[in-house]
Amino acid sequence: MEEKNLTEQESLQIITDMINKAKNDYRETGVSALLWGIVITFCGLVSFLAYLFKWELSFDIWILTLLAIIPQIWIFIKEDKKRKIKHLDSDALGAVWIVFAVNMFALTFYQNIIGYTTEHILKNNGLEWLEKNIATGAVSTLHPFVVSVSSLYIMLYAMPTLITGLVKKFKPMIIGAMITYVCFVISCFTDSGYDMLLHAIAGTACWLIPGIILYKKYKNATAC
Amino acid sequence: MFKDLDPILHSQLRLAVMSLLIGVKEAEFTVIREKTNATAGNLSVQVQKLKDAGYIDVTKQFKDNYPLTTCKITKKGIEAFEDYVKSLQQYLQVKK
Repeated sequence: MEEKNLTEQESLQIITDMINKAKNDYRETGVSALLWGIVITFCGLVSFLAYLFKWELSFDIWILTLLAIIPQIWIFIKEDKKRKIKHLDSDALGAVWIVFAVNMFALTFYQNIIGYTTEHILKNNGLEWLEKNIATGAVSTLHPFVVSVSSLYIMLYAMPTLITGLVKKFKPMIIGAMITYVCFVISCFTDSGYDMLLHAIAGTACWLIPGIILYKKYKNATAC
Repeated sequence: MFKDLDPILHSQLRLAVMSLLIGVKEAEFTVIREKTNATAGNLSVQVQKLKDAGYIDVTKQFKDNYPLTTCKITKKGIEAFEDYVKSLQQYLQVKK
């Protein structure tokens, strides 16, 4: 770029060109989306198949979501080091995904603890939940639990995906989030076994497909 | 010829650097050079002028044993850039 006297049109052209160059530089590798898309889809499908074919899994398959945090941290550090331009919205979007992760763990904690707490409080008041078999009339103790909690997980998946899609104007994520909200509504009418299938669909729509698209775009852009 | 425009910004390369930095949080020197198609020597001189004017912050550090220079627009730089664009708009309106 050589120095010369600028006309107003040239100044305007430089400003427009450079702003566009900065904007178009945003290249998301899609690796994080791929990772979570694969993990959630896999866990959802295995859980659904276990429900369908009455498999006895020796461990909770959803533990994989905890293990996936390790490669996720590694991916984050590696990509952050490679990033030559830091965009204005990257910190805000990063914060959205961190808050999402915190909320996922908070919900898992809630799901696991609230039954015991409710049972304890009921016991202290001399009460307990009962369930009655309509056919036989048999009455037995019912341990308190959170009803249809998997629907809440599905609803949470859509939130950061929709925000990212809207901020980045990335249609696959917007569509993925919409599909996930539909899955959430359907899950309110299905039992927990079929909710697992809806988890798999949500994982595919929210992250797996957008992740594949982002990864392909990144590979094409970096190959040039 | 513009008379009221900020002379620091009214330069092809300096304006390009500021236009790039206005839309991002920060950018590495190598990326600015790549985007502006400038030589490293010329860009260094113009970046120093913007830094001296208080329009950008320049951070020098080492990454994997290589020097890494990062540029970031300052509040003063944002105000100067906005004033420059306003003056430009006024000038264009007068010309219409």
